[in-house]
Amino acid sequence: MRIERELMRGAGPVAVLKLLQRREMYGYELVEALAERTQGVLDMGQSTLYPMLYNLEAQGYIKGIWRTGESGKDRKYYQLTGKGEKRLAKDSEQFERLTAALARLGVISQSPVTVAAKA
Amino acid sequence: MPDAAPHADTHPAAAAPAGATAAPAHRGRWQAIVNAADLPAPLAALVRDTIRRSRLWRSERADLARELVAHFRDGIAAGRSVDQLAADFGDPRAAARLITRAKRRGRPAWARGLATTWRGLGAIFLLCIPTYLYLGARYYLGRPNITHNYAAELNRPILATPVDERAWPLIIEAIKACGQFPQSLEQASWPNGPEDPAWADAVEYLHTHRDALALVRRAAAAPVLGYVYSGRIDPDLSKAYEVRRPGYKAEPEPDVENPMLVGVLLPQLGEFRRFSRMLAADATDAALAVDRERFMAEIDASFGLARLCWSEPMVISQIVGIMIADATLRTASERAFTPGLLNDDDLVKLAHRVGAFGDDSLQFNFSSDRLMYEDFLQRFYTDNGRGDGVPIHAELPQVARDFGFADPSLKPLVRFALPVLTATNASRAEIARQAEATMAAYEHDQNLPMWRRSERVSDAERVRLIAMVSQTLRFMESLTAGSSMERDLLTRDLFEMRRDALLTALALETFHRKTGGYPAALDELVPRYLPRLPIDGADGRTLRCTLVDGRPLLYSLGADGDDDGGRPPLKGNKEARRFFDVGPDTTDPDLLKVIDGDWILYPTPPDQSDR
Repeated sequence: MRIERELMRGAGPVAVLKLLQRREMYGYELVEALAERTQGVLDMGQSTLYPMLYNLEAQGYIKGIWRTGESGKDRKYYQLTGKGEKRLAKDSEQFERLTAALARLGVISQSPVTVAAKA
Repeated sequence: MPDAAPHADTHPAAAAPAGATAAPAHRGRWQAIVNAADLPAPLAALVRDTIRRSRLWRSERADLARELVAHFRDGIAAGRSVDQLAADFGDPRAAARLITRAKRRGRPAWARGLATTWRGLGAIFLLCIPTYLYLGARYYLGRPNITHNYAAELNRPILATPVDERAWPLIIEAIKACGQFPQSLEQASWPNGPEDPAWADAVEYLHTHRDALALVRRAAAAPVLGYVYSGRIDPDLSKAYEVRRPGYKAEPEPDVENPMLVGVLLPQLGEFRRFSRMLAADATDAALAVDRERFMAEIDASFGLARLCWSEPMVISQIVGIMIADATLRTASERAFTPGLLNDDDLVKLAHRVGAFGDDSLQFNFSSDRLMYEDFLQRFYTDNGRGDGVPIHAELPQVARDFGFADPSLKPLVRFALPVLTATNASRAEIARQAEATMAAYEHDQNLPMWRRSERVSDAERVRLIAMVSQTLRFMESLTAGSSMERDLLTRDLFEMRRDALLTALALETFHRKTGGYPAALDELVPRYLPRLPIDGADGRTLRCTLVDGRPLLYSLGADGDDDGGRPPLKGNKEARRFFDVGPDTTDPDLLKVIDGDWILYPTPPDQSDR
């Protein structure tokens, strides 16, 4: 199930920043990772992903660098910047508070914090 | 499975990946990149469509092409079908729009600033188009509401006067009777005494043209000048010119039904000045011949011409009247005291004649100046019926042609610019208000005596008015050029001072003839010999008088404002008067030398131009 455009507008960039926190990735890789790791929830069309990447790049949260990978293919790899790290931390905190609030309202069953605490 | 980056599990801020190559140059044509990629046709078309729709720089397009190509290659390598990849990509139009917006955000600050500026300019330009169309339509399609014929208004009392009470028809006859002038007398000023080389020619001419002088004397005695204002040359005058100038052929000119008032011809003024000079020369000849009757007749006639001009409604005519009267004063001052010329009664008559011009103080009549501005407004402005309007083009080309200017609208750039240029002009109501303020300033100033001239404000108001009118007539600025009212008032003030000095000199002469001496003070002349004391325009007190070689000398304190005992300025009255407004407070030593001294009013300074 794909999520609504408005929700995607807020969640998409955080998801991309989070993926790039672990390692740098190129466009198609990000598409695949988003689809796989969110079980299709954040599976966005490329006509949405690339503008999102360019926006994050324009705001200085990520940086794109052309490289030739081990397969010999030229790809543009995106890296998280220091500014992007701060933004991710801030957004993550906000999402946690949001989901907690939604959980208290019963909109969602359990907040991730609760799940993590139980684990 | 997508390729992992060389340091897949490390932070991107870590060291550069081993085996990585330098980033490819983002140059080159994006089409070449797509073509070289050898993508399946639908995907290549999708990439082309997206890039074509984007409004990006060349390098940005190349970068985008490279990235999309890499994306689809990766998709194909991952086993995706072409259709699925195309479907996953989404709408290329939306992609192009979003990509363009995002890429532009990433541009350098200067590029974003430039883009903002261009967008701003574009918006202004778009706003300017309807504004210009509105201004253009208003300027070029607006029509004047010409309801008044101001020339006809000025002519109405003239035409109501019987022809035999008008001076102008007699002046026309006098021009014909004068015939062709000898070459030596064609110059602007006639000789005024035997010391002039042209004097013999003048005397001979005057003696052989008594009929012409008789006509001028008759004209000078007429109740009104009687010249009919028109935009074309008076046909009768044109015929008279045929007599004066052999070879000249009068060409009939079409009459202008409603001429612009500022453009009416004033040939009568030149003719009156010429005849006043003839009369002055004949008066001098009469004085030299001790012919008292002729002398008195010519002085009387010359003042008559001055009176006729002064009675005209235009300020320029009134100034000419003062100038003729001033020249007559000079002749009278120089010749009236010729031994044996005038008897005691003649002196009194002459004094009455001199004193009659202006009585106490000459008051200008500004009525036609007011009409000129009203005429200007009705021709060059729309009329909203409530006294306001905006400048329009309608009459401009015709007026330009009438006055010998190039039609400004013939130049395309000027034609284009005129609606915008005139949009900043003063409105009809603003000009009307300023015209009223100027006329009020004229009235205020002419009631201020000469020694309070620093309080005069005419020229400041007039400059404002001329600036407004010049905006509308920006290609015909000379139409708005004119005399300075403050200068005209100074001309009047100086004339009055000289007039009163001559009256005092005549009174002193009469006193001398009766008593054999001169009074100890001018007060003794009043009221038996002089109705009132002459006033010095420099300080408002009585004119100074002293005896030099047993003869009275009347003088004003002049530009330096102190009494130098009747010593004239080093460079003469006229040069000192140029710096009248500098006043005695100046510390400039060169200027002090020029203004130092008194203005000699009687007897006339030897150099007649230095009055």
